[in-house]
Amino acid sequence: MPMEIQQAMRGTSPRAALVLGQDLPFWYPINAVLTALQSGVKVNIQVDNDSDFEWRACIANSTGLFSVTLTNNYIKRPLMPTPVNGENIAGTAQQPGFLAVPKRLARTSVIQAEFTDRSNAGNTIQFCLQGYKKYSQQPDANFIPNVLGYRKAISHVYMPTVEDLATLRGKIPYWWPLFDGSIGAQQAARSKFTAPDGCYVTHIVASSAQAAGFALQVFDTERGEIMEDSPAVFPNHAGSAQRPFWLKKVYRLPSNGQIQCRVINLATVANAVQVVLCGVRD
Amino acid sequence: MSTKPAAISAAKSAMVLGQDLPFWYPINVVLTANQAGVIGTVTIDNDADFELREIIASSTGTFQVALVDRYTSRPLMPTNVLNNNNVNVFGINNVNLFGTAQLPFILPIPYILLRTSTVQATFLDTSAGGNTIQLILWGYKKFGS
Repeated sequence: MPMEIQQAMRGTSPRAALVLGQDLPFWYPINAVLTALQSGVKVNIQVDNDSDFEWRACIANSTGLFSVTLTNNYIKRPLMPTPVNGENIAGTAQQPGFLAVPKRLARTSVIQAEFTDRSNAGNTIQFCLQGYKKYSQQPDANFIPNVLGYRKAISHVYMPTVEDLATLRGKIPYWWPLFDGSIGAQQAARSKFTAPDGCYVTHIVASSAQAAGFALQVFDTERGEIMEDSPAVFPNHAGSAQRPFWLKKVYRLPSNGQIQCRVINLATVANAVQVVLCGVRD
Repeated sequence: MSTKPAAISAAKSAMVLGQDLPFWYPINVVLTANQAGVIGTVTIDNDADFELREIIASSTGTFQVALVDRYTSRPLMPTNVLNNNNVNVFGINNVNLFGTAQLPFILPIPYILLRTSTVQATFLDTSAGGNTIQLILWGYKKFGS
């Protein structure tokens, strides 16, 4: 169903058919109850058999911090190489954690979430996949890239263009933890990863256990370029799932090189830091 | 003193009368502590179809809810969900479903509810206290259809 509903359908039957066939807003919840520091708790949700599901956002709430690994069991592909912190993947209903490009999940697909508690206490989690049931088998005539228009109005940031995002249709949503670890007081640490061809970053998120935060530098070995003149403090470099730092232009990850990073803990105590590049891959 | 008649044309008048009307459909319920299965409904007025664009709620405590479009009998969330302890999950947590007027949950693709359709919400209080809840279905009455 296109964004704007046709106005010409005046008769009752066409209108009823339209309503019966239109995309249905839908929430698939994944619920888990964890004990303190429990890890590897797997919970599945199956897409109903009546329609495909166009996944558009991650929304979650919990009684404590957690991390999660998502896997699409229909294609046996994980959506992240290592666990991603909840605050780096899911937002709230007020500010959802949008996928840059909606992903259509085939009916009866199983999405598996593997949770780990980070709160050191009992943790009740509800992690929702929000989107639309698609009753039509036909691909959408128009690409509707989430609600970037209104997000732009709210957050006053640059967004990738609709045309750029449309070129990423059909790819798999993916989260690359660029750095994930604990760093000693005012120490630095490094991390890196490689990606195959066909991986694209649309936004950057990060979390810090300490309010003092951290500073970050990123290096693309294929281009031989450092992305910062000097280390940038993380509020200037990354957002959160609720309000990510969007790249104006989609960034292709190097397939013949690495993304490397150096993270400097600015706190006077040890700091658990995670930096995540979000986007899509083939 | 000469008075000039107001320049209101028939076309303007028709536009004003026929334009989409911003509209709030509320569902109000009051729950006791941990009360489950309380149903609230709202019926779309007979004068126009309703283009649902945002969902908003306020409450005095946390709750879960299951929404159903009674016209199509389609729930907006699955009803047979278990958690990792094989305990049935009632519905969606309020903070995962509803925004506020300041930051509403916006449907990127509007959802049309036909005139006289009923939307049903079934509630579970999770606050362990009394809970006064107002859900809002916000959108436009479509007088053009």
